[in-house]
Amino acid sequence: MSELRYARMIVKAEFYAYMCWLKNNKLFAFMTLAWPYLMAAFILGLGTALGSLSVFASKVGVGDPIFYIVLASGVLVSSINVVDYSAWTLLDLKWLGVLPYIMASPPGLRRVTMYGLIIPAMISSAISLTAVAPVAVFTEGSLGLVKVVVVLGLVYLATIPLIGIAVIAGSLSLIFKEESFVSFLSPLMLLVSGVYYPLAFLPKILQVFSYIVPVTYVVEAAKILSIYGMPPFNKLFWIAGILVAMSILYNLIAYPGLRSVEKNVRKHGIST
Amino acid sequence: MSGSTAYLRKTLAIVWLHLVRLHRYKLGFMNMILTDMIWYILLTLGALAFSPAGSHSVMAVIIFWGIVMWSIMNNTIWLIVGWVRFVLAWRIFEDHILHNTNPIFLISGRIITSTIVTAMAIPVIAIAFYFLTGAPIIFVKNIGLMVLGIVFLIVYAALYSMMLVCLSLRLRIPGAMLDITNIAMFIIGGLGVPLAWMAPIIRNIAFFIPYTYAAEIARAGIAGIEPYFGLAGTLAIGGIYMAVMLFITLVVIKYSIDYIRKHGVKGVGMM
Repeated sequence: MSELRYARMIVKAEFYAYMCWLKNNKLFAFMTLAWPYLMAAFILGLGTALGSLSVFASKVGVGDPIFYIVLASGVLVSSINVVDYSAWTLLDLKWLGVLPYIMASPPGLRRVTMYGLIIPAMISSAISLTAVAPVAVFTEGSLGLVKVVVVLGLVYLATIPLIGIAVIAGSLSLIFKEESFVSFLSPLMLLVSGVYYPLAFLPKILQVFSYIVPVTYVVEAAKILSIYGMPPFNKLFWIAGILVAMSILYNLIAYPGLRSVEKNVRKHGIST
Repeated sequence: MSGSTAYLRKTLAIVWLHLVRLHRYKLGFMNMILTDMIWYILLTLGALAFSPAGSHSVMAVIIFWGIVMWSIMNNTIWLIVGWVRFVLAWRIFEDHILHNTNPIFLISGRIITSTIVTAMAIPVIAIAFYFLTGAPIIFVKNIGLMVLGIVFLIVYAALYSMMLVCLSLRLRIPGAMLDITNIAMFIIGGLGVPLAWMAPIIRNIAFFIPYTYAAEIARAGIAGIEPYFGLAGTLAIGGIYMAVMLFITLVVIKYSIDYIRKHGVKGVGMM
């Protein structure tokens, strides 16, 4: 079977499974909509109780701080969803006891995880960013909606390298005799991406580390979009280019990495 | 075996179980500490981005410890309530009832995990943050008061969690809903902002939230901020809240276990 056909079949199956899951977990779907607002409310409540929005705008370098905080919260929730879902999927499959069947199936573990994770990542990101669209329209008019779509596009580009990182981290749970030890990954990425503060607040070493984290570039795009009325596409194309390069590079590492984990698991069994 | 000896043995067994789990899942334990530390820094830096440059040192202390207290509350609740799913999935809930051990007592043992995670994360992150921002985070005014405030906070959170555990066994209350309550607690529960600094309308709500008094006591120890009702008054109100919560929790546990003995576990561990 050709690679494209495998990809199409896995994506179709995963889409169906995820939609059924959402249908059976309506409250989760609602919470995905509410989460960006909860995070935005938390940081706005905390910040304005102890300071002001104008100070935030000048320090972080954004135009409209409320628009930015809500948009950035959408990015934050999307990133958490993508990384956590990707990292936990292998663990879930292990707990459910279906991992051996997936490994024995014609597409194998690598294809099922790499292609299959794209759909939940895309849907959950779309839900999170669609949720913030009303605020974007309220604060910036129809241009706000365009900006949300642009950020969603960049989140999709960032999703591919994020899945690569998360799958490698998650696959370690198949080798080590441990269960959940990668949940620090998503907050770490958000910490170095400077989602609610300027990167200058971080020590030099974390600032350097931030360059290799895809979320940093999406956050940067959100900052740029909050400053300009009309989205500056020349700057955004650069960011998109970096994310595409990261997608290729990280998955070039992730795919063989997952293959070696699969080999190890076939040889030694799954650690529980 | 006398009643008190049996209780002691059960308590020791539960403590042993949770300590063994911590040892068994070393990486997971380190992961919890690391995750906590990262969230402390992330949210504190986020809040600092709002405060004017000159007020960083004072603000940083309030913000940092506010986030630490919120995180202690949040962790305690999630680690206890989140464990219901595990206990039900592994079918050890009914086993404990059959062995005459209250399963809620078993679940509440998760307080050991959350307290150890907190105790390990706070000093490390406080020192790291001190070197990062130069804010006098590690120089607390009265460590005894600070610890007392944090103990109050953990006890409130644990009692609240046990009530939620009982509810989750009878109802399908999704754990996700807890997030809404917990996030709101930062402001209306007085964890992030001293009572005296609050807008009157929020303050009137905060009076009814037990965490407010724990946070006021802890802040008196951390930054020397006089509690709104004075130290003695705050301790008294906090103590009354604790007694009332303990009483309600014990009643709720008793009714839940009686109900479960009669009807079985109705909940599906959706917490």
